Amino acid sequence: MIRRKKKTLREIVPFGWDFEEIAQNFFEEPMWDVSRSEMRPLTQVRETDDKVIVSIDLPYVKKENIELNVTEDRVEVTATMDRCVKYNRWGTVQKNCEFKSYRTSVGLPRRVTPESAVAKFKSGVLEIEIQKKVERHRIEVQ
Amino acid sequence: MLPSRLFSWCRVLETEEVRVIETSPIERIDHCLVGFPDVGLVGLIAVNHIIGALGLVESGYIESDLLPPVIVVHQGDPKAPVRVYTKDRLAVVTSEIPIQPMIMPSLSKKMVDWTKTKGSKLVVTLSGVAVQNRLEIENPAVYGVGAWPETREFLTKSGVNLLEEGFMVGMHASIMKEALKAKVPSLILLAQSHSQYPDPGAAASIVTSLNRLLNLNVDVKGLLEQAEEIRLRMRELMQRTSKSMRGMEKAQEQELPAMYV
Repeated sequence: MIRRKKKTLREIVPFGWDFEEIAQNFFEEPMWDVSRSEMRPLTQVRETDDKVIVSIDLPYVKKENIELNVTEDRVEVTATMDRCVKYNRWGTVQKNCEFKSYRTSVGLPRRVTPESAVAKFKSGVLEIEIQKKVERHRIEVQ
Repeated sequence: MLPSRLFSWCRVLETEEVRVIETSPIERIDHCLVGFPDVGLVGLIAVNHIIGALGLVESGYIESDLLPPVIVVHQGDPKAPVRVYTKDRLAVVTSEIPIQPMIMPSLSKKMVDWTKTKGSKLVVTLSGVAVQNRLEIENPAVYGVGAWPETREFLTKSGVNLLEEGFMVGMHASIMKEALKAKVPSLILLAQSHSQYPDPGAAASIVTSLNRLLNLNVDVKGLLEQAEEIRLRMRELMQRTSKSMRGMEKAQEQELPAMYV
């Protein structure tokens, strides 16, 4: 009886090709949405022992124009710019668009307690610190 | 057996297929500034500002089979993404695309050899060093690394602190390695910077230090006034650069070297 072994994609793709990277680059979303006149801001997520810290770069934004929502596994931000941005020579569809706001939804690496979130906005960078959700069991050391 | 694609890469590397194409003749260079996409895009923003402020003109570009098939269009004019600008014996080499780690050694070697043939007295590579508390820093400090005692003395005399211990990863490290081998005087300037956000403030600090080092007399007021526009405009390149930095163990720059002698 002949048994056919199913090959994984990793085995088919030649050595030296990072298939995940190729796929990621190929399906990469642009950092703007012409239909909604929105840009996607740069974001950065880092962790400490007890916190998840999300920072978002928001040039041309004032503190009062930021809407921030935190759930157990996401941070969602929309922010209106204090001036519309238009690039008359850029691209094909983009040149006709006036970008007015930012929108992003950042997935968090750990579950967090949304009520614990503290946000500050300085020099155009929004930084949100959120406590990680932890269940602690005290164990007696024998 | 090597897959054919990897084999062809090796062959290209062997034949050193990196060329500096001069579109207008470049006779002689005293100083060469290098600003490539890296931490906070500091070097790139700084050299872009210097090109504009001092009116350097496009004089050439770097061509290689190892670079991705990218052309950038400015005002309807297609250009190579890695370009050379010059004026009055000052040259600037910059790139509008992140440089992949695999290409760095041959690109650095070619650039250093080229500056040597042009009689360059000093190659200065500009970059950033990521600091977590960047938001709390009003005026980012600039640190220098000099190839030789004379260049280190030059840095300290100009008021630049020396980076005494640490790792450097990326194009600036690769250029320094090649410059040491070729005995071309070189130094690196690193400004405290955001790691993954374009940082015009850090670039302004670097330009201020360069003014002292090379008497460039470049005003940074305009750079700081345009900071938000630059941050917005460079988001996509920053995103692409961050991705490229992940592939070269950039985090090592935050580590303490193991040797203590």
